[in-house]
Amino acid sequence: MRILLFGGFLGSGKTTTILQIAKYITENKHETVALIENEIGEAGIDDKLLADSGLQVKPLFGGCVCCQITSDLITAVREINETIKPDWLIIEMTGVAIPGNIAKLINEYCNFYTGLKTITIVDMARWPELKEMLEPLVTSQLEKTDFVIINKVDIAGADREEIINDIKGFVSDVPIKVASAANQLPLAVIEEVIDFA
Amino acid sequence: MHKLTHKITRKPTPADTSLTDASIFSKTYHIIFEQPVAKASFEKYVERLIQAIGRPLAYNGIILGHIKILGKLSEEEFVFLSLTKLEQVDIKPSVQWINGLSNEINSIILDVNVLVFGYSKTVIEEVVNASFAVFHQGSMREFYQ
Repeated sequence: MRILLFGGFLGSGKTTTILQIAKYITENKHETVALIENEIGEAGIDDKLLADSGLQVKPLFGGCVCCQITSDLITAVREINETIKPDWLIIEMTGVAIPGNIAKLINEYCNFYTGLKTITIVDMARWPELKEMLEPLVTSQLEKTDFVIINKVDIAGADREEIINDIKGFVSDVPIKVASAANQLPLAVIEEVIDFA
Repeated sequence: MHKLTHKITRKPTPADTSLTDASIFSKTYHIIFEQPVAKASFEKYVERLIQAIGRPLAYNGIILGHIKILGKLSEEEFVFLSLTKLEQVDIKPSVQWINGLSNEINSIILDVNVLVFGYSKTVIEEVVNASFAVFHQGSMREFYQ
């Protein structure tokens, strides 16, 4: 089972991205995908969007922001590995989670996987304000990640090159792609995300 | 037509916002219409509602978080609205919402999920309630679940 761990700030486009990647894996590679949807709030919303596309979704909810529901997440990963045994497990983290920290936990407690990759989605349309107000959070989401998608290039302003360069300054030596998930991710980006070679 | 506004006197500053300053407000509303409403009209209403909620919580026109509303007729028939920038509401209908037998609705469940930095849950709740109050001036009544 290969694990794709998606992180990124609230509303950055994680669910939209995941939908396209899961669809590509099932339709083009004919492999099975299970999804863990990790959402803050008392009522699940994102899991309904994913399930509407015919995907099997395990929702995990947390009523408060400080709760990262990590123990539930570890339990869910183990349960899916033992029962469903999918080819791929895609995990959508909450928008306040730090992907590197969650990956460390999975490494420690779920090391039965055959591949693990963390992907951070960055909302470039809100980057200047998010960086100004929440720099520790949004920059830590970029640390220790394996792949970065700078999303919403379609609605970014005229200063987009400047923003892209600024984001790149916080990323270590990993692939960085600029895209618009709302307008469909390029095939090359999807293939690179799922490439474990 | 009423303009949906709610004023907050103080905006968040970088000093206000840290990981612990994010607040979550989740609530489910049951809306009953006095007469059938076209799905397209309903989408317009909720688009205005989500912007009304977002406007007083925004910083430079962007939401330091995410506001989501799910309008649900059934588990399969729903419309999802998302707000991260004031001028841009993302609307995603489910397959069944588009292909459902009826184009009109008599009642609907609304799941409102607001997660923002820099405001307390009490303030968010005030904003949501004020936005709903104006939303319901017209032909709609609201019942809390």
